[in-house]
Amino acid sequence: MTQLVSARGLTKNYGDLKALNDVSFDIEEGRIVGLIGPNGAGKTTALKAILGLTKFDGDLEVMGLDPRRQRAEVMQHVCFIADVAVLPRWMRVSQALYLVEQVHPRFDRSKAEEFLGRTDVRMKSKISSLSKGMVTQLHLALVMAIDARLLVLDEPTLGLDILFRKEFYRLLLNDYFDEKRTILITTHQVEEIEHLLTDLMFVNQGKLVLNSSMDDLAERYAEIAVHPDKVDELRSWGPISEQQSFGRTIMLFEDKPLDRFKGCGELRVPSIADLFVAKIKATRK
Amino acid sequence: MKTLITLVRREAWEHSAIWLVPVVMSLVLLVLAVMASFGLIDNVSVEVMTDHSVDARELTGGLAAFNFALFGWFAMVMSVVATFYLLDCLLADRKDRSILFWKSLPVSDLKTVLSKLLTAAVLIPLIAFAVSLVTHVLLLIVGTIDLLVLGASPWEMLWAPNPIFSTSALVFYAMIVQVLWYLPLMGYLMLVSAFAKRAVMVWAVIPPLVISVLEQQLLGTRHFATLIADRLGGVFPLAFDVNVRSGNVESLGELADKIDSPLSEVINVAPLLQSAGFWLGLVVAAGFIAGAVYLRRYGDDSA
Repeated sequence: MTQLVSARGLTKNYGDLKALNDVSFDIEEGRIVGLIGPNGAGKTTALKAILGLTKFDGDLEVMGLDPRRQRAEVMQHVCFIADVAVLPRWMRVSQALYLVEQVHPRFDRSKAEEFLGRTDVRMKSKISSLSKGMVTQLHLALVMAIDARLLVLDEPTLGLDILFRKEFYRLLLNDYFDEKRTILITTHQVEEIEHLLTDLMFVNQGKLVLNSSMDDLAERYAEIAVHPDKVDELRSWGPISEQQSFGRTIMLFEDKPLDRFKGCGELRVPSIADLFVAKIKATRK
Repeated sequence: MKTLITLVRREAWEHSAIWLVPVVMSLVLLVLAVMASFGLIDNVSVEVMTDHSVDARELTGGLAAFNFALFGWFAMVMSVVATFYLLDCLLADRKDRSILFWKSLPVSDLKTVLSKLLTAAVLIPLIAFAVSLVTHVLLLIVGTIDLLVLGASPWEMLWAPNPIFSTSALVFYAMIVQVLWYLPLMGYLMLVSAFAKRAVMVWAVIPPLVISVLEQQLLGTRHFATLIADRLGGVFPLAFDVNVRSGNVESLGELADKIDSPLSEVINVAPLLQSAGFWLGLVVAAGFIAGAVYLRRYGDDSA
């Protein structure tokens, strides 16, 4: 496995606020990594560090390059769509294609044109005249036509309606992703990307509170709807969260052998959203 | 190189005033000229041109003065356009939030800043020069038709005595030295544009103003204000022959003689190349531009 991103002791302070506090992680080629965290947790700061958009302390390698010093080289292999990275409104669609074609050595114009042909986006349109969904389609067309190794998505579907959002992820998975590509994604709409992730990272208050592959997640975490007479016994085993739902007690356990729960209630793999809430609450205690 | 040219092209797309303003200005002049031909405006020049008592030397001098004036108008307007362009060039895509799109392209911040400098220091002057030259030729064509209608000879009155090649060469030279002279000012405006989040004009004016006032209050001297005034005043005293700059050209005939003399007698680049101010200006310009690149690279560092 090729290591695409390798971070050691990543730290970034804004005054007294620790946006990133000694964070270490690796991202391997061919993975789809979800970076999840509440607002202000440090997600965007981490992405900015990878993209060479901010100064930071610690070691960070992106494809063996230092994004602090070699940003332009890094960006030959990294693509980036962010809610905040809007396309310039004065530009025409044809100008956007021309520009990326001229400055990006790995851009295949015919791919972008073919993709745009399946949408309502017209070559002569000004970007200011397109709807938000169409602008995202254009951005996606530009990015999918670039033969990049790492695609970074920061809240890419914010403000889009459900049809565009579903279509966005469908295209990403079917037409773009393969074993040579890697996607790093942050979003608040966790449910929508749950099924496409291969790896999961939670950040909270500048710290990495969970870093696991989805496969390991099923082994490490168990959610159990506890039988009423077993509640006290299971509580003593130290669940990371407990809540009431339709009169039943739901507990979430971390790193416990699953066979211990036999006969205690219904066992299942927790959803990312539930796990997220449990982990964030646990770190706040 | 290909990237730089593409980026300069992008500047012309985004800041369309760069080419729209001179084109509109040219059209206005042409419309005025055509209106004058139809007698809608008091037309002094045609009367002068058909007055056969005017001698050929004065005609040449008059046409030279006209050429210079035309270039001068375009230069003045385009300086204003360039100033506003420079103040906006590193702010616009932070303001419309497209900066992260630009940063997602494999283009170094140095190249981005250089493309904007090239736009202001090369593209805008070239457009000004080209449009004013084309306007000149179009005005000559309007004048030719006027003279034909009046029964005079356009060749003798307009074309043969017209020193357009000499005047254009002089203007081109003046343009180059003027741009080099103004480079520190351009660099300063770019630095302000990379720094300010809004109110660029205020940010551009305040620092030199504060320094000047402080110097006068604390030291009682006005070196800084003089320095700025000299820089704004332009480079012509340093770049042209003594006789021209002392302003003792008294008649149109004399101007014609100057124009007809070899360029080497009018142009004198030595005082410019020997002046410390010229070279220091370039160093200061490099410093400002480096600062703009740095701010473009690491600035806007919000969470």
